[in-house]
Amino acid sequence: MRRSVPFLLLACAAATITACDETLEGGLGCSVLCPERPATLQHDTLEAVALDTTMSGFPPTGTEGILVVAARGDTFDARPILRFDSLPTVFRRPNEVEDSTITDVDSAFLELHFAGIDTLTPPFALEAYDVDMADADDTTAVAHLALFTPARLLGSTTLDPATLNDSIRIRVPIDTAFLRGKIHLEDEERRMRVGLRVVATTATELRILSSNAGSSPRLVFRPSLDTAVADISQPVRSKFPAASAAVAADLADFQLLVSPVPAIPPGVLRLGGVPGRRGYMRFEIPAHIVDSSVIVRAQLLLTQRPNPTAAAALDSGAIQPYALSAGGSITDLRRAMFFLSASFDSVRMVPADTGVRNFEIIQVVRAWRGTDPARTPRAIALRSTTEGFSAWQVDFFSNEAPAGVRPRLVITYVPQEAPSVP
Amino acid sequence: MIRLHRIRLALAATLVAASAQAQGTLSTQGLGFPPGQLSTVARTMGSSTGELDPLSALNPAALALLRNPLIYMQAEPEFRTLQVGAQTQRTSVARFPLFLGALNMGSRWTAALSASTLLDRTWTTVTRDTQVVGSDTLGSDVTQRSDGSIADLRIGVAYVARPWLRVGLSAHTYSGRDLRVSARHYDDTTRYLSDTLSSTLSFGGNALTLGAHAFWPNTAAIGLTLRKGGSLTAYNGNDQIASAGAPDHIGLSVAYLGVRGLNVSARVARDDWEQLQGLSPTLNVHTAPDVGVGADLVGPRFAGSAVNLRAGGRWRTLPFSADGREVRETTWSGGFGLPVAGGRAELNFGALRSMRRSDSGISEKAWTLSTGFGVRP
Repeated sequence: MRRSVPFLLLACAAATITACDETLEGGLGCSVLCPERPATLQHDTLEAVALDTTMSGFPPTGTEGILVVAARGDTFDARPILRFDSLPTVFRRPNEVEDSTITDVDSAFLELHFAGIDTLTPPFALEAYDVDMADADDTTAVAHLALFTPARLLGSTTLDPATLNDSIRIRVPIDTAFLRGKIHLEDEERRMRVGLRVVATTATELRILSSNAGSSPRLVFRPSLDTAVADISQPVRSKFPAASAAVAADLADFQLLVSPVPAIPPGVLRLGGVPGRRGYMRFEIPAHIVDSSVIVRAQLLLTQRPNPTAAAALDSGAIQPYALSAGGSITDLRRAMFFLSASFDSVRMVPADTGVRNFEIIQVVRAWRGTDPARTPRAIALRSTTEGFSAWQVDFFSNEAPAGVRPRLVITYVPQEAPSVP
Repeated sequence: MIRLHRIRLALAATLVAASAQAQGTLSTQGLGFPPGQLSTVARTMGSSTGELDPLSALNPAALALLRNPLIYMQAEPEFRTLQVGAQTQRTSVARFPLFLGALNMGSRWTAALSASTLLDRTWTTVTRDTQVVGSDTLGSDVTQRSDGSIADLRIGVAYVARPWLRVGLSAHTYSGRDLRVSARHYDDTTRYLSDTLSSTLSFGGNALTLGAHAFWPNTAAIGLTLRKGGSLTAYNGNDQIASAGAPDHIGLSVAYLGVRGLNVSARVARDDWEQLQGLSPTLNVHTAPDVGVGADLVGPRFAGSAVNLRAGGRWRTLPFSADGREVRETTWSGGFGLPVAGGRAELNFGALRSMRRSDSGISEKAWTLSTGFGVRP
């Protein structure tokens, strides 16, 4: 007996320890043993859009990450402006300790980082123009457009779309005599400003990285006829407006839209294009759904309005919904739409088409549970995935359109029933 | 102008539940499974000493049998096998059904505090569900979980009225909580987010017990318990949602001690579970006698103390069922009691085999390993 005691104690200890381990998952006998049915899903379609509108100007001028050089006839003409407001006047020869004054310029060109192209055309020309003007602050399209004249052409290059890829750096030759002349000007006038333009036989969009993307366009030249002298590579820089260094930094390179921007018809939400337009939608959802139920699916149904005359009307593009983190204290809707937070699945479409487009926005709708709409507006933003650097845009019928094509919210949810004793 | 119109799609109202679920076991229907408030000793003896046993939270008069202060605790894992036709499903649940602390106050009085499980409602089911929502046929895995119990918090006193007679009185407070969670994970995870619904019910109630315990050495012992249930109320937060009577209890245990080293006992008891019907009209409640027989034999000696060998059988009807058909339980048990630490502590162990059946054709078998450990500080 004495020998068996440790085994008995061990067995009891093991039994006690196993008492803490549970495997509860059952359900085999549910046909008989489970009289409670699971809650049935409710499926409601709500005209719940309290406010919808389009806001333009995204991204703001000068903050573009990608610049587009486009020629799509009357529908889309875009020409980036590159400012080199700081040109060097001296250089250093090899093995010397003293700077030398630049008297000659050789092999000058613009170096641009290729970011994409949208064309099926044969080779096209990329031209660089001198767009410097007396008013150094001017950023308007009207003033710049007048400067794209043959007399101001600084150089051009021919690009074959088939040979362009992500690693390509595009070089546009620059008139060396013109550059030398600029370098020799007095301080206030010693700057070079370049406008880029595409000349093609068919619609073409060429995209390049901007200084905001960390890949600044550069002016590269050799400051001497001596081939042993190293090149100078000058990034874009703007000194104007002098009153704001931050704005000046943004305007080192910026997007200029030359083609007119058509007005948006009433009852229409227009998204995408250049300058980029975003849609703002604020919802009113009954509290018994958003607060007292568990929402498992939320669909925003928008009816696309066909726009066959838009730029890139037959191209496929995508619209993506975003949650907004702007609180209710931000009443300026355009400002609120800078506060994009989580994004959700995009939906592809062609601007010339029509039909109902379904956006899945369950994540954001469920996040509104228990929130105060005054503090956390139940709103989302819609934007094009090519916002600001593509002519692609799409129209939807807004809440002011006829009833049959207005935005709708379809919510599938599980009602929370009052607890009861089983 | 803000417009808000709710349009319910009649088509979408076509909802089909392919299957449904709740407890998924025979034993945990309704408000749960009643372990019986019995100590390991009593459980191992088929509950036969339930009304005689000082460690069981039934008869307060039996507390007077405790000669020293005592702290007692009990663990009871149960390993169940549910059989539906040719299919079986195994589950296990951990239970800690009894804690007790007793203190002698002079030679005649003994007081005790105990917490025991009146009803245990712990289960989880996982089943498939299909619903038609709009144009979608939506499959999902539904997990339903209940985690909760109703505990009996008892304070009792016993008094030695005569050398052969002990009487006792105890007051009971019922306190319970049931966290119910229903989670559904849809097959289509790109468009549907899983949902989780949870609710917590709490229970509160009271009861009063009178007990008597008569003991004639080397002859017999009789224990009688009468518990009068007060109210039992269910709450959702601070809101009372239902109220009923706590179950009455009457139990009688008789032990024959005429053979040296042998205790043969029997018990019959009845709990009026139907008093709980007022909590919910959908409860299927059954009240029936709870009968048990058992024996305790003094076996081999160890370290100067006897080792007790025990066995028993018990027959009862579980208080709740999924439908109107009652669930009958038969339990066979065996075990031992072993003094340790020079008699300052005692370890009791029992293995119980329970068979539960109803006329629905579903049966459940369970192994319960009951371990009770008492320490005299």
